[in-house]
Amino acid sequence: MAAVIETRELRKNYGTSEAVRGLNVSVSVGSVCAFLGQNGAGKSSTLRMLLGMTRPTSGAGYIFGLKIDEEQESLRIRQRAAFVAEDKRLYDYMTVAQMVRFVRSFFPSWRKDLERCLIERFALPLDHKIRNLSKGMRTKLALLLGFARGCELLILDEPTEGLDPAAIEDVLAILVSLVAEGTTVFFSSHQISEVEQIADHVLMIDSGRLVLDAPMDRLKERYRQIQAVFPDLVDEGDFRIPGIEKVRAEGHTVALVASENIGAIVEHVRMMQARSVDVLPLSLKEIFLAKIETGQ
Amino acid sequence: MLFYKGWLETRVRFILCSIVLFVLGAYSVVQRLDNLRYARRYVSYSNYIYWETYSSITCVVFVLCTLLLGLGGFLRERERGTIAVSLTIPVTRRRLVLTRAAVGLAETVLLACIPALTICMLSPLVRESYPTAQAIKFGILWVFAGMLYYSASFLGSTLLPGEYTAAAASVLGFFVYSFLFGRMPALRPFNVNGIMSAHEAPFLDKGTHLLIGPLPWAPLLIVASVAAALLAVAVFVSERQDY
Repeated sequence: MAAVIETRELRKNYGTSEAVRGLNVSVSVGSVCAFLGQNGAGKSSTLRMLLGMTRPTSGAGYIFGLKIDEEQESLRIRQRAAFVAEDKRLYDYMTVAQMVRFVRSFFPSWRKDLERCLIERFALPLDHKIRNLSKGMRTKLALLLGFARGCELLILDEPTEGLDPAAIEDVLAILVSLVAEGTTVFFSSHQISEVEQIADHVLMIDSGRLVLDAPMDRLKERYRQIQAVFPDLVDEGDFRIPGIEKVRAEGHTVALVASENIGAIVEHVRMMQARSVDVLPLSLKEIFLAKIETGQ
Repeated sequence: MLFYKGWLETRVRFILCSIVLFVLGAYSVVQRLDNLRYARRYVSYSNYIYWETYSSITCVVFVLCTLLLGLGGFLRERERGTIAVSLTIPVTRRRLVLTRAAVGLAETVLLACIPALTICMLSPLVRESYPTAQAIKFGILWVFAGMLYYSASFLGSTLLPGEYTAAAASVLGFFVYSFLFGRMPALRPFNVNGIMSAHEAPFLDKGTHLLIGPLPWAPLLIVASVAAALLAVAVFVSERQDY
C-alpha cells in the first residue's frame, strides 16, 4: 500500500541532546497508526518535524510524497493534513465561533456538516471566549477544528487527553467513521486501551529510536507471555534464547515475554524441568511495557 | 482572516493605547484653561501645544504604545501553546509575520494621529485653534518614528523568548537609546526622538514652534528603510526558527 507518511533516518538534535535518532517509519493510506512511547521518547518532536514546525537535523521525511522541510511543499502538506496538538491551546482572545470561522477560512474542503454536528454533539458554546472554556471543552473544540478540515490525513497528539469517558467514546467513533471515509489517522496516545480499540498499526518509539513497527493483529498474534514454575531456583541468564524480549524470574517462577520462536522457547522451558508451563496472550499495554523495559 | 486574527490579538492593547493618547491630548488642551496664569511662559497657543504634546510625556507614551503593539509573534505563541494552531494552517510563515506587522503598523499610524486629531477637535472648546496642516505634519513625523519603534519591538519579540523579556528589553532599549542618542552630540543626527518632536530641527520655527517648509523627507525615508530592514530580519529569523 502507498505510504502517506514516510521518514528515512530522520534525526532531531536540540543542542547536544538527541530527541529523534534515525527514525524510519511508513504509514499506509487509510490506516489508523498509533505512535506510542514514553514521555520524552521523541513523539512530539517527530510530529513537529512532520508538520514543518521544526526542521530535521538530518534525514528526510515525506507526507503525500512531499518533503516536510521544504517551505512550499510543507504548505501543500498542511492543505491536506490536519493536526491537533497535545496541549489543545487555542487563541484565548477569540470566541468559539471566531475560532471556527478563522480555521474554516483556510480549508476549501471544510466540512460544514461535520462542524454543525460536532458543535451540537460536544455542546460547544459559540459565543464563549476560549479563555473561559474548560480543558475538556477546549479539547473538543480543537478536535472539531481538526476533524472538520476535510483533510486526507489527521495527525493527533494525545487526542482524548482531558475528555470524560463518554466524550472519548464519541471521539473514537468519529475517528472510525472518518477512517471509513478514507482518512488516514496517525496519532500518539498514552491511553493504550484506546489504541487497542481503533489502531490497526502500531509504531513504538523509545529514546528517539523505533523499537516496534507492526500491524496490531500480528502484534497480538506474535507476542506471548510464557509463565513457568520450576522445582529449583532459576537464573534469568538461563533464558537467553532468540525471541525472548523480557525475562522476570522470582524465586521458582519465571515470566517470559516472547515475540517469536514461541514453540522453541516452550520446548526449552520444558527441557529445564519446568513443573508447569502456561502460554498466555499479551495485551498491548504489556507489550508496550516489555518493549520499553527492553529498550532501557 | 489573518488580518482579523491580528486585530483580535492586539485590539485590547490598541484601544487602551488610543484612550491613553486621547486623554493626554485632551488634557493638554483642557489644561490650557488652568495654564492661563502661566501664559507668559508660552508666546502662543501653538507654542503651548508643542511643549505640552509634541515634545512632552505624550511623545514617550506614544513610543511605549508602539513598543507594546510590537510584542507578540511566534515565540510568544510558543510560550502560550498556540503556536501549533498558527503554524499548521496552510499559510507561509512569511505571510503570517507580514500580516501581523501590517496590522501593527496600521495601528501605529492610527495612534500617531490621535493626539493631532484630539488637539484639532478640542481646541475650539478652549476658544483656540490649532492649524490642521501642522497637526498632520506632526502626525507624519510620529508615524515614521512609531514605525521604527514598532519594528524594533517586533524584532525583539521575534528574537527573545519569554512573556515579558521582549517587553522589558524593548522599554529598556528605548530609554538607553534616548539617553545615548539624545546626549551624545555625535549620535544626535540619528536620534529619532529628535525627528519626532522636531526639536532643534531647522524646519521648526523656534518662536511659534510651528513646522515651516517641507518635511525632512530624506531622514524620514531613512527611518522607514531602517524599520523595513528590522521587519525583514524578523521575517528571516521567523522563517528559520524551530518552534
